[in-house]
Amino acid sequence: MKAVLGCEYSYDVTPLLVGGANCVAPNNPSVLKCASDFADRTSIAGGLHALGIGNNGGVGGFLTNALGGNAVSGLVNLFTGQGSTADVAFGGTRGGLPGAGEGPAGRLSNGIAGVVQDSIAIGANGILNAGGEITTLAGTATTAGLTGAEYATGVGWIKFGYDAASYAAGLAGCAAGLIN
Amino acid sequence: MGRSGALTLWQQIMLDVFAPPIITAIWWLFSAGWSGLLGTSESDVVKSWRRPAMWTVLAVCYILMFGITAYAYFFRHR
Repeated sequence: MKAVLGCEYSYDVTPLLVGGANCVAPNNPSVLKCASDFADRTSIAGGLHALGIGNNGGVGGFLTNALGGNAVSGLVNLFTGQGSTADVAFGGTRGGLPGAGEGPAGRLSNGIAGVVQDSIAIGANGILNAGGEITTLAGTATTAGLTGAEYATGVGWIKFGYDAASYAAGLAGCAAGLIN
Repeated sequence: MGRSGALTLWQQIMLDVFAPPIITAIWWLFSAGWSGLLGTSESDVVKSWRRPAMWTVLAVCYILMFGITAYAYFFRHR
């Protein structure tokens, strides 16, 4: 494996492949961390931060990260040990996965981000069910034929799909040396 | 063929083959949790979205990863 995992490589690939730990520069980030960093930079929260939104911490910063952060990178960080104690508190024991269930245990496992997402989802559900249409950047969009919850489900899935795609791009780019 | 990445071409291809299903599985977990949270898991509309959405995510991940690999290994330094 030494010929394959030689010292010339930029990243610690041991999270992905067994062996070669001694031939990796000790201070270089892993491919997974590089991919997570890229995914976070290109997340909705990263874009908002680049625009100066949510940079001052507080409620604004909290909401920006809770709703716009990359869900996939958050989960991967948790399982690869790159997540901090704050990440666990933020994402809960479920790593930010929504749908933890009812009761105190469920709410606790949902983490701070999950509780915020719950509240937003319930709120959006109520608004959409009441009005039947929403105002978007392109104008007013009707949700006829869909319930508010179904519409919100689709929006959430698209967001998670974007998170998955940006993480995949980051993973390939980092492994190929295109992204640092 | 000149490029200096973290992995060899063979390792990169293995990553490109195996990572998208894992990422798609994570997406599946998130989407299932989200629809469960909203109470739409049993909705016929949402059920009809699930498989096409999953295949779309998987396809996009494969296209992105193999596309980036092809660019890095075969086109970048031409």
